[in-house]
Amino acid sequence: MRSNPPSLNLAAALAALGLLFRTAVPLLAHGPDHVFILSLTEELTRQPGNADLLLQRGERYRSHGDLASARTDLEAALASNPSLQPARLRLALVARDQDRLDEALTLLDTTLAAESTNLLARATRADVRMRAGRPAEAIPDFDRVLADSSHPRPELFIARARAVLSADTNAFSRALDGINEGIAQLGPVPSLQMLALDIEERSGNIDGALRRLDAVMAGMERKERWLMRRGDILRNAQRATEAKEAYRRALKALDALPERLRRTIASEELRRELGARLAGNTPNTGTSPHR
Amino acid sequence: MSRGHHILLGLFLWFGAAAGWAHAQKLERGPYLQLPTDSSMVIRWRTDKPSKGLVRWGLSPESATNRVQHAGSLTEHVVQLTRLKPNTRYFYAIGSETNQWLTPAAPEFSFITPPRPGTVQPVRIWAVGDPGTASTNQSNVRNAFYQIHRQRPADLWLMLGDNAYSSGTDAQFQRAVFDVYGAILRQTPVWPTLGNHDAMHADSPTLSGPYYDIFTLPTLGQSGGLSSGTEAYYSFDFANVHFVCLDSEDTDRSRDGAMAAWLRADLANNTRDWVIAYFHHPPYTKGSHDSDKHSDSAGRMTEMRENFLPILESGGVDLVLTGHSHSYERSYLLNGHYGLSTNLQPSMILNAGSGRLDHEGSYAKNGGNAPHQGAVYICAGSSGQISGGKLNHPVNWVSLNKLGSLLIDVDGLRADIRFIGDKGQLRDYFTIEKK
Repeated sequence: MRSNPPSLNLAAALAALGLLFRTAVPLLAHGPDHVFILSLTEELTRQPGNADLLLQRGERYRSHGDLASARTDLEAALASNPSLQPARLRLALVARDQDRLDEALTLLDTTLAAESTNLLARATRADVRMRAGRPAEAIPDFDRVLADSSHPRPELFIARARAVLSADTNAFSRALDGINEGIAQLGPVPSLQMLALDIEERSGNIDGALRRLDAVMAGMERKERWLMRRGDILRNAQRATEAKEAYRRALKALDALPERLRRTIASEELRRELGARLAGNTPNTGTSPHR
Repeated sequence: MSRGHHILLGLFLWFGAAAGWAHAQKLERGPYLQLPTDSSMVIRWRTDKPSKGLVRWGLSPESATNRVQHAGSLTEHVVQLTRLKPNTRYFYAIGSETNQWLTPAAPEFSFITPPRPGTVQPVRIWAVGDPGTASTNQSNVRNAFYQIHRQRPADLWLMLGDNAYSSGTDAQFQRAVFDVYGAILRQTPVWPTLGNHDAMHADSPTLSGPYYDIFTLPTLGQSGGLSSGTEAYYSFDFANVHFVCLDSEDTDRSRDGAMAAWLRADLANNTRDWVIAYFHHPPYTKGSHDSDKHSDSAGRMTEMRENFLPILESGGVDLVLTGHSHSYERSYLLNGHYGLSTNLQPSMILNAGSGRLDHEGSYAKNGGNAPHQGAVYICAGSSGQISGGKLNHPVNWVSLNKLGSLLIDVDGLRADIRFIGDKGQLRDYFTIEKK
């Protein structure tokens, strides 16, 4: 067999080296992740169509936000091995992030038909159903994820409560039951407590909202903004006398702070806001206890 | 004793030794310290064979006779020591119910409990970003810090994510964390945050995977701060410093999400003098990542900058520590810059100096965690590798493609921050002082 002339071999080697340099240097500049992509690419040249390798590379692309490349790899992985559920789930995540919600739902339905206990797939389907404006269908998925999670997170309880209220704007009681379940499991988490407080207030249960607020405030070192929120809830409910009492208590709490905390711009602003409220100079609005 | 008796005794001792050998445990990981409070400490370790893990402890190696044991026979041992005194050194040994001790109660197996929250005393913090390469670079950065640590040990240390390359498996955590940092892990509690590489085998929504299995983190404000309900993000206090750890990788980063709601409440409740926040994705970088590109890291840097910086700055944050780009990028004293680098306005730079006492002077702030008094942002992702980049983000006073780690000394209302190179070089330093 005749070999290539040496000069051609050298030219080819130099060209390959140049190509490698052009490819590798920018990739190396991004650290091990891109080096890993490079090594997967190299491995795929030896094993073209290897579904596991395509899944790995697709997931790396996805985690870096290169959704187009991720899609190409994950579709190829599924074409190579249609039963590779992790690839289908990752492709669903890509579809979701590309706002192709119908496609994402189809992929997730297939994944869950094969793996009904896959929590990530079910949580993702709940999320996609919410994005698709189908909150009533998202609720059972949230219920199932929360029931099956050994460490449910506040985010899931909040998402379910929002789904409940999106499906039925008057389902305050059901939404609150779900939040209460979260507080019972996770403890006094402010993100859950504050949502419960908002829902109570929105539902018109002012005393319920105040009870929630007092429960939150009991665990706080700094109470001044919570007391202002208490005053605002009461003022919005036309309970002016009680509102003023809450504002006065907020001022007292402010005065009781150590000087280094009392003499800040934020504290001075709060003092002015409380003074204006006591003088009746501010419109009724919902307020947050946090600056 | 007859010859026969000698043979019998010899056989007895041989069988006894052989049986003991057969049952001997091997320490595979640790010990390492977690979830410190002014009255408790969690000690964790791993053995090759299951047993009921036992810790004996006391105020000196000789008096380490208090005992506490976990229930069940396990290889992953988690023991909490309780009813400890604040600011006190304790010596401990770990072992099993059969009194087989895997470590001695000795100075290298001791820790000092945190002071009561709010106490004003010198605090030393070490921070490593993207360290987990298990490489010579990582060891050199560690060794340079150890030289300083020997003179005045750190009270705690932070891992800024990408703690174990390349995908956060248990074996990678072993190589890049436990095999590298064994000496400090047994004496100084570590507080980690999740990086994108750690997240490849971890899942924040279900709190599963090696990262969450390995670390014991507060969910109920056990070490100060408010309950987050999750180990993915949390806060804690040490002396007069309030620390906030956010999950920039795998948690909802929207401004009306649970993490944002918790952060607002947590910072509004803070009474400590200093606020240090840390998470993996830098809001400002032109290193191996570009915070101006929304597609880079799937928009995480943009979302942290746009949604979380306003909350942090409203809450009086002083220092924001991140990694992800494998370089050192340190900002001026900044406020209110939530857009692209091209949108930076001169008014957003509250102090355009170096922050160095021996040059233009320190960065001065008002005390009391007043909002929007300025913060310094540090991307310190070069504790295991460097990866270059343009390194020209205009918020930064200095940008270096150099290996190193961060050393932060807080003393009352003054904080001195140093970037220590892999050979112990002082590569950057600045001071923040509060009135």
